[in-house]
Amino acid sequence: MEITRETARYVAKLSRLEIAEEDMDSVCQGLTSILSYMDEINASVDTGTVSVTGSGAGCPTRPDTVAPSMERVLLLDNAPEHGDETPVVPRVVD
Amino acid sequence: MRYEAVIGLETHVELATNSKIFCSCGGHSTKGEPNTRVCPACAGMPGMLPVTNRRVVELAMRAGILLHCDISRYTTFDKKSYYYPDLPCAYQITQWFHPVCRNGSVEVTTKDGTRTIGIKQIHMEEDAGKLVHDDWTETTLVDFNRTSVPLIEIVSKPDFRTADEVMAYLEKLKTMFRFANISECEEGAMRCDVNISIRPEGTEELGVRTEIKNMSSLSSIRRAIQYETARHLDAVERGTETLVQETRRWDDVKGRTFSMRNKETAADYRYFPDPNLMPILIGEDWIRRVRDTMPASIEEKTAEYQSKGLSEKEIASLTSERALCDLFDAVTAAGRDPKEAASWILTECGGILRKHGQVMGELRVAPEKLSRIMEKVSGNEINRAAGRKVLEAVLYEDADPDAYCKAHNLSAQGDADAVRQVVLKVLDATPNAVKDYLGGKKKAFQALFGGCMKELKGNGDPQVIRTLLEEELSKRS
Repeated sequence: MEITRETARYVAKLSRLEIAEEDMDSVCQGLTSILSYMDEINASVDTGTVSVTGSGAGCPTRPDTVAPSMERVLLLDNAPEHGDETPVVPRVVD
Repeated sequence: MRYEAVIGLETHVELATNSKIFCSCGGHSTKGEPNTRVCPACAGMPGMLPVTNRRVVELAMRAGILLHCDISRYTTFDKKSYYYPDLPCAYQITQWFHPVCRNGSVEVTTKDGTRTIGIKQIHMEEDAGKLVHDDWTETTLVDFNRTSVPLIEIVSKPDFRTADEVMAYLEKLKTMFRFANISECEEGAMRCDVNISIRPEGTEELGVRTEIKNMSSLSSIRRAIQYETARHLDAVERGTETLVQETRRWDDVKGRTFSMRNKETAADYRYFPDPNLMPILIGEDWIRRVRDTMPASIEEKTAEYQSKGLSEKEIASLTSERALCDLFDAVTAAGRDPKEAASWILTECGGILRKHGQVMGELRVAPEKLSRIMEKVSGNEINRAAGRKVLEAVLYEDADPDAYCKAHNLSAQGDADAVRQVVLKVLDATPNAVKDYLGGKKKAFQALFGGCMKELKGNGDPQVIRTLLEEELSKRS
């Protein structure tokens, strides 16, 4: 599958990434070669008999018990902007 | 040409767990000061890994059993990627490829009849945080307490035709899930996305569909469905606008829907299996354990209470709350008569609660105390009026029934010897009334009766007093 400039721009927008116009060709080539490599792998490796869960044991789970949460200040310190109780972001209304 | 509405629902229900779905923070979405139920995992900090809460899977299975679904033996969690401030990881962990339950159904009944609504699937997912918009500063405040709170999403087939059917469905889900301890279904714990289109009656092809997102109030959902159906009809019949497939939001104040920003399509969400969460294998043993440990359903309780001779109204009232059923079961297990138990719970407790401005859902009484009061009344130790007084003291003063009766001398009025002493005292103290009665003035009996009741502080058993009064008066004739 070839990745066109239009597709690259579209995916970049979804990912909130900015790709400079001068880099567009190399990005398209790189993404195309990655997908081509996946096509080769899919064509040459038969995974039909391999269990997705590896050991077959399935997903580890935990009991429904509550443990202490982290101090609020630790969360707020990681936010670029915050008030006393919450991170603050530019107004977003869906 | 007549048209019909074709409506499908995606209903998100918050599960009644102690902790979140992928971490051990407290799970209730409305409790706690902002950002005090957050850890590095649910805050999306780099390197933190999710671990699935087993109870979430079991409650999802329980919901599937109630809605007659097939339980998947292999179910996976998948990432749904998009950017929004309430989503700290920039993806939501949900189920796209292998949901936990599929192909169920539920019947809904309205005044127009009963319809079977198909359930396409039930899947587990995590909730996002809460945003509070500040109009003064043009900023948004983010509370992550709700991130990773466990939800199930029930996706119906587009089998609804009216707003009434949607209301009946949502009320039924609420009642079923509360009764089965799957969800508390409080304010905001159940939210809906409504998909609606119209088509000529008798045809199969679906019309242009619009989605109205994220509604929680039943009255708003009804109004939104009615508005949107009318908007579609106007567009099709009178050409007022061109309908496009889009997402809209309902404005409750303005009473209309508005087109939202362009939402991503399914492909744009780039669903892929979450590499941090192994597939969950659900074996027959696990399904059997979930089924065996489920509380009895409303249907099962209804059949049980019918066999105990309760009326339809009594059964409906008891099964409106799991706690009322538990109280009834405990009291009847202690040997109390089922009809009497229903009467004491619904009529006597209900009356006292209403007097104090409360509703049945707020009833909190120890079954053994209620049972003891019933035992005293049925054993004629105290009359029903006194029993009501004791009950009120139990409900609002945490009184012990025996201690309260003793302290207020209530037991005496059931004791025939004690009542006889009171009768003799009254007869001795009112010789004129006795003379009038024996002289043929029957009205004097009421005065003597009133005197006895006054001595017993209004708690006397009327029948016992009358009988003993007649006995003692006849001895003096």
